Amino acid sequence: MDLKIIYLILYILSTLTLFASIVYLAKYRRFQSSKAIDGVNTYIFGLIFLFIYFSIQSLNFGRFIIEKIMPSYYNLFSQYINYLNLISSLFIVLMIAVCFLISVIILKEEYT
Amino acid sequence: MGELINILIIFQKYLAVILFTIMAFYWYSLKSSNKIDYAVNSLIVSLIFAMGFPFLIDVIDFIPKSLNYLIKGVLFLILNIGLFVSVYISYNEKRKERSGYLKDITEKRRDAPLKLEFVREVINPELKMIKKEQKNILYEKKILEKERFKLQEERKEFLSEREETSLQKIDLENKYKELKKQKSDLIKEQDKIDEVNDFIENEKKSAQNLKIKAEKEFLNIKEKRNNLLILEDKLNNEKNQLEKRKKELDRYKSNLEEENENILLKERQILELKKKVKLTEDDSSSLKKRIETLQKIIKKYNLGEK
Repeated sequence: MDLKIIYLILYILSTLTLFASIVYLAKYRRFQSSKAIDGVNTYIFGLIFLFIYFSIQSLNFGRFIIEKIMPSYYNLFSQYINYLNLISSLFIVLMIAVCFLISVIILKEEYT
Repeated sequence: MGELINILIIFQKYLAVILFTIMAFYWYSLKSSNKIDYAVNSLIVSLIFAMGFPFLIDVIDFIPKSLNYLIKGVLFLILNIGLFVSVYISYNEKRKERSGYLKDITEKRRDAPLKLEFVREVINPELKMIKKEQKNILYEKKILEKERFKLQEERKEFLSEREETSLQKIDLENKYKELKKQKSDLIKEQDKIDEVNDFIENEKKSAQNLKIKAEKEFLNIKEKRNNLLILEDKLNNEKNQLEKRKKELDRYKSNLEEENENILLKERQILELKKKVKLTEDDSSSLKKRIETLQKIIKKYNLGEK
């Protein structure tokens, strides 16, 4: 129970800081050179996937709250979160990796 | 199904780790080549790409799951905080730097070093470019003037041709009117011809009808004639028969006459015989009377004797 609270806090903080980072990165794009802008856009896209992953993980570790607040909906919520977990572990992590890799490839092509 | 999904998840984890590793090598090679310009903050990019490394812990099996989550969470949090701080700081720095530049450029003092540099580095080349463009424009303007003169001449020619064409147009219009009149006359004549054609067709139809009727009547007459011929044959036959009968009747008649004569002869004979009979009757009656008288006399004689 204590560990779950710690996980939840860690992931919620990560989600919030990542959201703020994405916002500032989007603003920071106007200072980037035109060469790097495609690569920057791609890794921001990857960070959006990461944000979705953190949100799902936060919901996953926050199950115990739903269990306490709305016990009748717990099973439904748990089922929904399991599906989301499955999707995140099957696709979203892979999409993050692909976006980051494409971003590096674009940057390398632009600067070499 | 569940086992298949588990296998897919494990496969995907390894695939993601491989992709992250390739990405890391690429980034390291790009960063070590020192070709990235000043505008790209390599610390931010490194921190972003470092977000892939907590996923490597998922693949390591010997770490307990609870510890795994904890390490991942802590690493993510540290990386995110680091990313946020570095992005925030560099954004503010860049913003301040940019606003400083803008202030220097827009400063009213003429000998401001940034303003002078801006003029030297940016405005002067732009001015040179504009002068070149101006020369090009003047050259093109001259060419355009020449073309304009040519166009004016062509326009005059065009206007004269236009007048000619307008006259031709009037002639053509007159011809067109005449043709229209002729066309209307032709249409009228065509109408008349059509009427005549209609009349002829009607007549043709009536003639055909009459022909059909005549053919029908001809056929009827033919039939009647055939019937008459048949009747004539019949009559001839009957006539022949009647003649035969007449001959027979004549024969009968002659026979009858003969017989009549015979009858008359026999009648005469009969009459003669009747006369004879009468005579004989008369004789007999007289005889009877005599007999009676004789009988009466006999009777008287007989009584007298008694």
